[in-house]
Amino acid sequence: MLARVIELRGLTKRYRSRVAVDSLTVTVEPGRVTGFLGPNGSGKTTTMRCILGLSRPTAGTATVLGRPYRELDRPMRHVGALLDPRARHPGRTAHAHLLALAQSNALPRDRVEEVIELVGLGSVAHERVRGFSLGMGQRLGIAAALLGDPDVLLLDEPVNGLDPEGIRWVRELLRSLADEGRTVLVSSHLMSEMEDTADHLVVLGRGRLLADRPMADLLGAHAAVRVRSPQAPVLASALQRSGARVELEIDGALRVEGLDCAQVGDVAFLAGVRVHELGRITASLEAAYLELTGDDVEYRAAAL
Amino acid sequence: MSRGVPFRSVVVSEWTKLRSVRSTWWCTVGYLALVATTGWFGAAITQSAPRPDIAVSSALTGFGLGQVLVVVLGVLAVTSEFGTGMVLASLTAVPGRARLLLAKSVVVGAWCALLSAVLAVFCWFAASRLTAVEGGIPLTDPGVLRQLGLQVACATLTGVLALGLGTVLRSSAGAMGAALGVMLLLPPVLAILASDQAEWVARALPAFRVGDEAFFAVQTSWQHALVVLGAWVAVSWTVGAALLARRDV
Repeated sequence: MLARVIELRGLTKRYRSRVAVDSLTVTVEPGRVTGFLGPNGSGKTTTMRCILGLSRPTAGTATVLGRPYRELDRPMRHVGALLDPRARHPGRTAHAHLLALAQSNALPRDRVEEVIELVGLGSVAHERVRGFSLGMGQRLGIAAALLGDPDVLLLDEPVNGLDPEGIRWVRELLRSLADEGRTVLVSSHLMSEMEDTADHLVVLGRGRLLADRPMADLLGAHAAVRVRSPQAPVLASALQRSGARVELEIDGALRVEGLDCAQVGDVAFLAGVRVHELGRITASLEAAYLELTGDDVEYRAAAL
Repeated sequence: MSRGVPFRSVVVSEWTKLRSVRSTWWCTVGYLALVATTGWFGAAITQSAPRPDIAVSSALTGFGLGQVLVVVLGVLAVTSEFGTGMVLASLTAVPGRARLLLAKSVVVGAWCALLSAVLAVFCWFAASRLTAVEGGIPLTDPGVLRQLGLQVACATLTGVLALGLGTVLRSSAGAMGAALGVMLLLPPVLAILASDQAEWVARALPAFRVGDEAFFAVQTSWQHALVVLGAWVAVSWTVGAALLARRDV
């Protein structure tokens, strides 16, 4: 199991004066979907390119299955990658594209038809990819990644351009691949895509690691308790004395951080305060993410 | 290097890539048509020749311009990878970059050699039918064989040179310009200048050759020409392989 992981040790990539990835140390574990998040330009793609040996790190190392990618035997049997939906010759048919890749790793020819059917491109297999939509291109890229039935999958923005049905299909595919014990690293700049898919999150901002923790943890850290009372000021000071952080919401309810529902209820009881509403609010991943990356957005529109 | 995959598999994959794009077939058809028709006419207008190798020479005229298409084919085999982004998929599948380039060179070289061999035999056939030589034009005549072999060798080396330049420059237009510049454009310019320095430079350039004759260029022996062309191939290929191994894609 240990050998399946992707391991980054102090990975750094500098382009002239710009630091794209800044001493990143992360281990991607098998058996779960790891979401790789960050705003545009935060270094996700550069990191993936370094893992795949396409770019040479300025410092540090990236290993897959304990070895640098370039030293893997038959890499497609171990690692499947979707980097760029344009990574193909537009004049080639989907079938020829996949066949050439399969042959280069001595994979059985039948595998080409199998993955074409799996991603639902059977009807256009012998058409030139020039005419493919972005969504079809993504499916072809996913087919290429799955060709070698790999233990490790790296997918860069796989749902870009997919329709809702396609997005759900990718989610279920990633889920089932992870459940089979594979290592799945999937990048995105959109939180909503990750919320239902990833078990674990690695968040980048300006090339630096902002978070590397389970999804539940990240959401939990930003969770709070909402309590409404006709005697809000009394309850608020009682809660503060118990060490909670309390904020007044627009509708007059209190937002309490640092205590769970039971503790808030107990505090209210001891203070003799009536409670009309008490519940836990889970932060959306979106909110948690914005809080994490707030200072680290590379490209931001100016306020109007 | 990925030792697990036999080199043969990478070659087969490169052949699939080459045969599955249209430009390959346009170049192939153009090359065959140009060299064959020129060869047939060349033989037809040469009613008689004193020696078999001279008769064959006139039938081989088309190889000169035909090599333009060999250059296009060789350049596109590699620059289309960079131009389209296919190179990302290719290098992820075959991380041993020199290995990938070698497989590509084997495929391009073999394809050029095969086409040129077919054409050379066709040109010999045209000459043996249309040009009168005392004692005929036997294919086994050493002079004839040398002329034909020289064409096949030049076309094959030209294809690989184009591939090497494409790898160095990573741009279709740039690599075609560079290849045609040193092979087709500079040699006649230098020949016209006719100074000692120009002649010296001309001798160091790979020029298209038709049999023993250089195509609009300062004349050199065919041995000299092969060595010069071979050196250009070796240098461009080695520089291309080194850059490919070092660069990020």
